[in-house]
Amino acid sequence: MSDAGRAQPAGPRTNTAVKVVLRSGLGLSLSLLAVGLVVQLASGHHRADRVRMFAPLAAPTAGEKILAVGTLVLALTPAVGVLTVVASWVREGDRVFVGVGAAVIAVLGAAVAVGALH
Amino acid sequence: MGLHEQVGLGIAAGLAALGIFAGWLGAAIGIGGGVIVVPALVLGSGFDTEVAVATSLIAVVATSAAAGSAYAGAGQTNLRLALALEIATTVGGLVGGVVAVLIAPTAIDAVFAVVMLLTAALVLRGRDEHGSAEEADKSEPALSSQASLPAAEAGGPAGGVAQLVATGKRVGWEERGSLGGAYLDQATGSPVRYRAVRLWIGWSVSLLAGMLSGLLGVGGGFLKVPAMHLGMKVPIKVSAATSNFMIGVTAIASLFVYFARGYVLPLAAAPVALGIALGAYAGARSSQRVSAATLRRILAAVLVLVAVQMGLKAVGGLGV
Repeated sequence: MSDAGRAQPAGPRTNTAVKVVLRSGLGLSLSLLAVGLVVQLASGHHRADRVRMFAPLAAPTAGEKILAVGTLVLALTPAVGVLTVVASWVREGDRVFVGVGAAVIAVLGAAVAVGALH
Repeated sequence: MGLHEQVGLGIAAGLAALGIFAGWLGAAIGIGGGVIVVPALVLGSGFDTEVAVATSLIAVVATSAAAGSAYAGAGQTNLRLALALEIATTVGGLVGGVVAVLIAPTAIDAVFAVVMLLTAALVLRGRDEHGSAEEADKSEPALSSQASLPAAEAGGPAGGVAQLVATGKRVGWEERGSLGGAYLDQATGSPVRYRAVRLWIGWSVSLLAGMLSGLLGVGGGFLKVPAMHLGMKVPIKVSAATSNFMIGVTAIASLFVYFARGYVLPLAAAPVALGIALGAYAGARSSQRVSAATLRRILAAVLVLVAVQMGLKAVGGLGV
């Protein structure tokens, strides 16, 4: 690691990591959505089927499978951003905010559980 | 069968155009596009309200990822503040998401109409959520030099505020273990240090914003930014940047509920998400050419018009 890298404050480093995660997730998901949309429209199957979060590959057509995976990737992107932030704070040893981040992750997990249980 | 259940090329193009318009106007005026997307889908395309809300939440996530990554890269996002407030907001989003699928859609339509009228009033008051350098300067004093800071607050071993000036590219910094930080104001070239106060205000408003997000499919930035800036004394630029990161996290708390319960139609959501990402990008670049007052008037007119229509739909749905 260079001197400049060693001297870099932890805050900006975390911000940069979040930027990379959000941009990567957005780029991947939008690419999948664009490809899936083209495939689906080209197939002539124009019915918009409902897709459940835990079964994206249960969609009836190839286009909708790609669309469902793209939607899932997009939905998970902010969650991965939160995990990235918490991992950074773990490395910094900021216990208070590791707890804060863990609480947010717990609520997001509860949201998944609530949706699945109903 | 609703119109939305058959998405051909024409309808996909229409949904993409809606996303572009909502993204452009939302980015230009500084609010999310949900207040435009949901009523347009319900009133214009015959979407069920729950499906429209789920579609809008997907669009909010796309907007947040696009804008949030830009602000995070610029170092203006206070991630500690964001997640501290997200505890309340995600709980609100979860509750809103659960309530939304249990109550009558007409009730959601009625709440939406009221919220949009209030939003129109806030927009017409003329506060620019993204603010200006002048606003930031008024709210928080710039530091003349690192010497004005205690050593521990000057960034500790990592350098902190001194590096804001020294490196130029590193324009943000947070205090470990607290909700304060600093950022370099590009307009003045001076670092601005701040410390968030009255966390209870942020939590209260964030809880409400989260519930509205889950119930109505909106980002809730129109509540979070004023709460952080006016209530917690956080600089407007940091508030807007932090809110942009937060709205995506808030949205997924309720989106997970909708998604798991089968209210997501990817074929309908895809063109909206693609359009809103494109529109937000264009809006951020082109908004400089249109006056803020004109944008506010356009948005307020759209909101009032749609609020009336949603109100009439709610009343009609109740059989009044």
